[in-house]
Amino acid sequence: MVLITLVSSDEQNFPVERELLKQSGTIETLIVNMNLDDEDTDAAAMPIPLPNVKGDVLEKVIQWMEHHKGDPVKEGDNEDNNAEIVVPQWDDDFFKPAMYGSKHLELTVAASYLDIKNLLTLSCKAISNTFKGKTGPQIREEWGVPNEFTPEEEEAIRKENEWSE
Amino acid sequence: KSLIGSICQSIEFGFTIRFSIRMKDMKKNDGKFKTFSTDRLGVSRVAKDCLKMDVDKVNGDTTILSLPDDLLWLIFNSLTTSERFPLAFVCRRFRNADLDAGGKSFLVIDIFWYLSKEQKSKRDMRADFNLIAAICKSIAYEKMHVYIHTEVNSSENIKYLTSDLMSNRVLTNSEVTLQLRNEKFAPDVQKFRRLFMQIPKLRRFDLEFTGYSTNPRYCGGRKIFDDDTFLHVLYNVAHLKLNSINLSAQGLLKAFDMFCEKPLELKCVEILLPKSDIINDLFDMPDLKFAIEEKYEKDERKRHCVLLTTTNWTYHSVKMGKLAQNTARMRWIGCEHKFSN
Repeated sequence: MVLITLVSSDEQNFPVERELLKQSGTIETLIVNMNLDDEDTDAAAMPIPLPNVKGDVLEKVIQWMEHHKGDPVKEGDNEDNNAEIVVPQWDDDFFKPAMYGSKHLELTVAASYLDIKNLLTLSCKAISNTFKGKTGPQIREEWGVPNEFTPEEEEAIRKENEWSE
Repeated sequence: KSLIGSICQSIEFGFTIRFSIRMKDMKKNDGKFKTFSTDRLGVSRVAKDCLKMDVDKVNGDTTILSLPDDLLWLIFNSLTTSERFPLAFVCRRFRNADLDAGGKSFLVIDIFWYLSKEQKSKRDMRADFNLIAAICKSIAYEKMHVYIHTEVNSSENIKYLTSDLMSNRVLTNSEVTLQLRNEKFAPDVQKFRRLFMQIPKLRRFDLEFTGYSTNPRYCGGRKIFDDDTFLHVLYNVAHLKLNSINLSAQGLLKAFDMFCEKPLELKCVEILLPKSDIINDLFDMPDLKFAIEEKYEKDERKRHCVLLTTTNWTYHSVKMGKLAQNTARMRWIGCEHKFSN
């Protein structure tokens, strides 16, 4: 088993199975460009720095990739955009404890940076699911967004949407 | 002073955009749709908000507001248009991102831009068009209708607006109608040719230039569609309707050839040609492959492709496609080499 070392922004080392990293477009590109797959390259001696990902977030990402090892990696945007994305139970349980906090958001940003399409899709979907059936103020409260609208403005937005009710 | 009172007067816009949404999306009254427009206070405000580009930066902890726009868009896009309504209430950032995210899908977008008497001198067409483009940016539509009535030389502005409204979208199932009216200036042939040479794949494209001519139905835009431009547009558009076109007999024949090559249900063409000898030239061509019939044929199933022509004092109306009901007294040309199957 070939191990490749990822280095987080806070200088933690994470040895990760080569196979897992195929899920990350960003890392896969680096591996190919650094010729880490060549037999005469000592992959262990060439850690991959990920200056945009903190250690605790990277740990979660690796955990997620381990569970999803062998899943087909999405290619491009050819999929039917109208198809409803369902967050599987395992992923839901995985995201839930950190939902509404900075950890889930950092995971989402990392998925975007590392180009892990399935993780990005599912973590975004998990966020959008929290909006469903909620009012604006409820969303605000749950996500800790300050209210910047005056009552008059809120009334104007309500008017704007009243046709939809 | 409240935002609403000061900047939300829809009169400020001088144009109207109507968005219609399927009720299906709203999970009731399947098939019907509702409309809202810039006449409504709120949407005018949206228009203003979407020009406000500054994004609230939050330092320190990652919050949902520190996500970059493209991630917010990704999140918003997995919701239906109606599920996204509450997002507008959350905060300005959400509101703008929701608007910019696209993926909002409307049945119909109607855009009317016109000059009222008192506004004639004050209106900045370029600014208005930029605003319209910003509002409609990445909003998906099934049908879009744009009506622009001006008395100034507006070809450049119209070219930019329509190109904005049609580019970077998938429109293969969409219908676009452009009605451009100008009593004083003829459209700029080169500019519009360049625009139409870039037309994306469309289900239907309906273009009508009016105004610059004594004949309201036929106008100075006629030179825009020469053979090449027309054939290019015909290639990309399934159902094409034009009133501003000037083909040669060869061009018309090529167009009909191209039409005949496609499955019948895929193409339909209606054009108005200036009255000239073009149709007679066509019939006189030595290598004409088409049988000409002048009587009305009731059983349309016998015909796979037809080219219909009717003529009045000023133009030929040429149609290619299935015979519509009640087409008596039309002269039509059957595509002979397609009869066998």
